[in-house]
Amino acid sequence: MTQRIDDRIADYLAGKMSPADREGFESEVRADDELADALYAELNLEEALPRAGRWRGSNVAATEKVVPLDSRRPGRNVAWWKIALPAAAAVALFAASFLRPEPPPAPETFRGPESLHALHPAGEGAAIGDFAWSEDPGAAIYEIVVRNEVGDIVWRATSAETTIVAPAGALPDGAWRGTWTVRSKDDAGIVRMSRTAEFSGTTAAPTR
Amino acid sequence: MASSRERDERLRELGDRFRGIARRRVPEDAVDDLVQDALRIILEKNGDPSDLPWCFQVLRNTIGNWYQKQEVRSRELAPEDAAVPPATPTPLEALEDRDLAEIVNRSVAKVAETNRNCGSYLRRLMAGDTPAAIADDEGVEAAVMYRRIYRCRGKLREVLREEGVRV
Repeated sequence: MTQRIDDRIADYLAGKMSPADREGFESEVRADDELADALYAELNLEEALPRAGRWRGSNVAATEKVVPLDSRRPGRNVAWWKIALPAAAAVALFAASFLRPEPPPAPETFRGPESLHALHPAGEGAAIGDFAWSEDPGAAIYEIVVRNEVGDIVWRATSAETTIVAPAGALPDGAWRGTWTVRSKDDAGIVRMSRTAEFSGTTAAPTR
Repeated sequence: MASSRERDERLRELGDRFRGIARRRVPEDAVDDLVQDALRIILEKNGDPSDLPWCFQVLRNTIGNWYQKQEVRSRELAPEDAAVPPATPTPLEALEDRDLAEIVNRSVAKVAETNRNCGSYLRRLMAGDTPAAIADDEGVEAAVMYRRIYRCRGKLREVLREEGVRV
C-alpha cells in the first residue's frame, strides 16, 4: 500500500475530504479488496482501543485504565486518576474495593489463543475443582488464573501437566460463577493464552 | 440521493468487498451466510451503502456475533469436542473483552517502548479521548493528528500480528 493511500484513509476518517473526494474514495473502496480491507482494519482498531480501555476500567480497576500490565503497581495512579477525571472518583473507589494487588508479570512475548484452550470447567452446572486444558506443544509450564464474577483473582497456580486440582479451601465454597484462563510458556519465554472460559457451578471436594 | 438502481449496485459492490474481508476472518464455509446477514441488516435498517464506516461496523458486529455463536456452541459440546480452534491468526473480532484488553495493553506497551508519542496517543484513545481532543492538546490540526494516529495504529497492527492477532 502506498503512503498516499494511508493518508487518504486518515483524511477520510478525519472528515477532511471534500464531498467529491469523499464520494470518489468510497467508490474506490467498494471496488478494491485491498483498500476495503485496509479501511475495515483501521475502523476495527479504532473501535477496539476504547473497548479495551473500557473493559479494564470497569472490570479490573479504573485506576489502571491505560497502564500497561508490565508497569502496574498496587496503588499507583490513584491520585492521577482522581485529578484527571474527578467525575469518575466514585466509580474508581467502587472498583478499588474489588482490587486485589497482583505482582507485576515478568516481561514476556505473548502469542494469540490459537492453540491453547481452557476445557474444564466451562458452562453452566460445572463441578468446579478439576481444571483441564488442551496441550500446547512445546510448553514448559502452564499457569491458570481463576477469577470470580467481579474479576478478582481467587486462585492462581502452575502445572507442568494439562490438568490441575484445586486444593481444599483454594476456591470459594458452594455455588459461584467465574472465569478462568490458562497460559503456557516455553523455555524461550514465548507465552500463549487461552480464551476466557466462563463457568458456573459448585465447588467440588478435591478428588485426588 | 442515489437512485434505487445505484443503491442496488453499491450494495452488490459492498457485498463483494464484504466477502473479501470476511474470508480473512472466518472459515470459508461461513463467509456467504455471514455476508448475507450483514447485507440483510443494512437493508432492514435502510442503511446507506455509501456510509462505509457504518456498513463496516455492521460487518464487524456480524463477524463478532458469529464467533460468539461458535463459543456458545462449543460450550454445548462435550469437552473433547469443545476445542474448536479459531482461525489463525486470531481475528480481533473473535477476542472476548477480557482477552482483548490484555492483548491490546501489552501491545500498546510494546509500541511505546520504541515510540513514546505513539504509546501516549494510543493510551489516550484507550481512555476514550478523540483524535480531535488529542490534537487540541498537542496544538496541531485534527487532520494532522489523524495521520499520526493512523501510523501509530499501523505500528500497533504490526505488533498484534506478531502476537497472533489479525486486525
